[in-house]
Amino acid sequence: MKRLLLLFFLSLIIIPQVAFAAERKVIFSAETLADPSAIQWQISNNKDDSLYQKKEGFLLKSDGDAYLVYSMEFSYNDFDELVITLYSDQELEITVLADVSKEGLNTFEFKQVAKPSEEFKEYHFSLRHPFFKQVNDFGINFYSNGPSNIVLKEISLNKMGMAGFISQIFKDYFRIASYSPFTVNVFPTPRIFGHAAFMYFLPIFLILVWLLAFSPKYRTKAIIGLLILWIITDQRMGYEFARYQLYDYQTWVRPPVQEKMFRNYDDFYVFVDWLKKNLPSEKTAVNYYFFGPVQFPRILQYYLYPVEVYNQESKADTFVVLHRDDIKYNPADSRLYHGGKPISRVGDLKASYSDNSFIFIEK
Amino acid sequence: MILDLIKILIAYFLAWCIGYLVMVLINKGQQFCFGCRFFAAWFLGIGLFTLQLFTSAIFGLSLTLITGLIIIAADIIVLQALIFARYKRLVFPRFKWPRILTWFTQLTTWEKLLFILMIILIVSKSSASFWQVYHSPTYEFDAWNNWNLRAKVIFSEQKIPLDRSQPFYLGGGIKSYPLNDSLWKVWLATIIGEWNENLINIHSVFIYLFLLGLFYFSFPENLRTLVKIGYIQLFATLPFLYFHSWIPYADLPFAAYLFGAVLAFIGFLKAKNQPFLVLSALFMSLAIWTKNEGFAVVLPVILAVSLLLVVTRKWKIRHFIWYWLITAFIASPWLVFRFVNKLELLSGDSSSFKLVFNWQFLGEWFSSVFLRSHFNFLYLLVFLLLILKAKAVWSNLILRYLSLILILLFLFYNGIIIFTDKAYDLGALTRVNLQIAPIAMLLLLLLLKQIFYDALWFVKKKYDQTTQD
Repeated sequence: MKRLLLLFFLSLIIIPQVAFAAERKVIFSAETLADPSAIQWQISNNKDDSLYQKKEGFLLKSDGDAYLVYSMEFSYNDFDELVITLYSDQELEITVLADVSKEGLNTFEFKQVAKPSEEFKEYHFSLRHPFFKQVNDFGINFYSNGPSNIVLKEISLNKMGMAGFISQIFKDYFRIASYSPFTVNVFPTPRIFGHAAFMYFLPIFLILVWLLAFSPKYRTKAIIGLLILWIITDQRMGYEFARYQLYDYQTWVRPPVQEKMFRNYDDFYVFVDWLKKNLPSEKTAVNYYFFGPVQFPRILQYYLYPVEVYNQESKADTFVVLHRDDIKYNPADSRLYHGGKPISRVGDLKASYSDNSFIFIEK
Repeated sequence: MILDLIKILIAYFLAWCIGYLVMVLINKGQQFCFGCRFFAAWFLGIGLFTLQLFTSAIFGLSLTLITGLIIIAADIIVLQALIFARYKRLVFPRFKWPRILTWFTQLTTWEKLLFILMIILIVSKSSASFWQVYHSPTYEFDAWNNWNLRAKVIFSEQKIPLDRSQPFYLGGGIKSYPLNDSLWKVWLATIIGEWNENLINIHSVFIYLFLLGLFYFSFPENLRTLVKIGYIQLFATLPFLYFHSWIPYADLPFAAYLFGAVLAFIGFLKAKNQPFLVLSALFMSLAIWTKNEGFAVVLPVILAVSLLLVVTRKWKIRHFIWYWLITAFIASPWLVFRFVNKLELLSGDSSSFKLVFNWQFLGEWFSSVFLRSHFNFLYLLVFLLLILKAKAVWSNLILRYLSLILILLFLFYNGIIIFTDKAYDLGALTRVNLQIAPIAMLLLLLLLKQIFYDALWFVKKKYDQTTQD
């Protein structure tokens, strides 16, 4: 009887939250866009702020970093899932940002990659996260390497049912953030609904610790329970490490040299290898002009030592340029130009890594 | 690659010889088991060898292969002579495989299965680390800005740059960082004849394996083998500790030196045998030689605890004096150098400390240490048990002092982040707690042993809670 009562009270708390409240609101579709005065969408950070109707959806001509912004006050208790149906001719990184007009809060949990395709695919984002506790608007960022044509069919805000709610717990727990240099200091996962996953294990953990400390009768069972909890976390973290390794294998180890990418430094290390092979051995210093993270010159310094690396200066007679469209070699006077101004004396292109990456040596 | 790997193994073996002879020399009365001698020797050998490389370089010697080999040969000759003078015999390590096989055949079926599982797990995890390190370029900040940069510069120059006005003074990067890790990498590069970072960075995998070995042989003898094997698996998979076997940083080696120092310190408290005191002092000095935290954090804590031991008459004054004399003498080349050259105490400007309350870090700090999975739930469990079993902990000398050391180190490390203006961000938070994780794991084991003192699946025989460990 006691158990039935307990179940009844628990169901009173849980079921209304996750089952009966399930609903769906389409916020982007041919129907919702039919009345221009009621549209709450804006396109930002893009030259073209129009959508072009196509047979099955709307075309967004993105410059490579376009945002769709939707104004609406809500919390994850109203809607806890965002579903975007689209396809694109370029690989896209889709990021959902809470309160985009003010803070633009997001984490790895709000990022997904869409492969190039001509068929619509649904991308589900859980909004059960502290960032969506109360928002006035949110944004969807479509990032691609270069311009892309994105065809959007539908965007909807959903309220998850019980099955969705429970499956989201597992999806969150096993979601892996991408490896970054900061991983050496901190892991971002595992999390559930934006909180450290262990918080949800905490009540049972505390009971087990109490039993372990004070109950001779149950202490063996308590240590087994704690062991199970420990192993679950171990396995989860083992999975995380395996995913890091798989990613490195797929993007760095396996591809041919011209396609190798190392985490968030892209092809920097490939360029470094190329540079070490092509830089004349008698050179003692280089001027390094680059595009990318600010630490690149210091990493290059480590790899090139004893060659000295000057960060975007013209002290040395050798210029090393990486991914800079604004620095050009002018064959007419054999100089390097940056923004229309010469930055070198007369010299020659020693070797080219790509259209915008090369070694230039003054005569 | 195979030839280079063999050369690297030879480099480790030569350093191990130095460490092993030191262990034999100080091991009067056979206080240390073979496993303890075997694994502690790696750390001692590497640290003492690099310290001598450093001293040689300061006096103007080139850091060439010949210099390194002369140091090793001289060490072996001197140590053998000292061993002969003390024990009237010379030492040649003998690996008694039949004894290991006998040990294995005496295990129960479950113990054999768990042992095989442990070997598979550790081999697979270390192989994965090896693969990762071997295939990755130097990527993490402190690796290319400090540890590997300094090693590469010193290897290229075949000397330690000592001109303070030059950007590559002491190899570049942050000048105050001790050079143990970098000089070992210099030696590995010297042995293989080139700066091959993919091979040199394997050092972190070796350290991981040596630390596992040292940790295993720190367990109380009367634990069931099943428990020992199971517990080493839990330690091996501690997420952040395992992850650092991929990372060419000095936090894992430092954690090992710190663990060795505290382990032998507690060993001396229990057994009152001089070899433990000497071993602890050696590890302590090498911790100072590995990371700044050794001098700035660990030294004050161990100094305070050793003073407390003198005041409470657990130590005699001569123990205290011997301990700190040995520590100071071994670490003196680095300590004298850093004071003469006015190097900073920590990585940044350490001329002043301001006490502030960084309340903005509090939530993130708590979550990072206790709730996320960096150390599984190690710290939450160990601190809760310390609170709940405070009376039992207090009544046991070893538990009392091991807990005191852990708590002081934890408060000191985390206090710098929460209560001083040196907490620029929480970047180093998890790494400093990694450094004390082996101590916390050992304390947890001893606490569990205290709780399961009469459970015959846990201990071989029932023991007196208040006096035994």
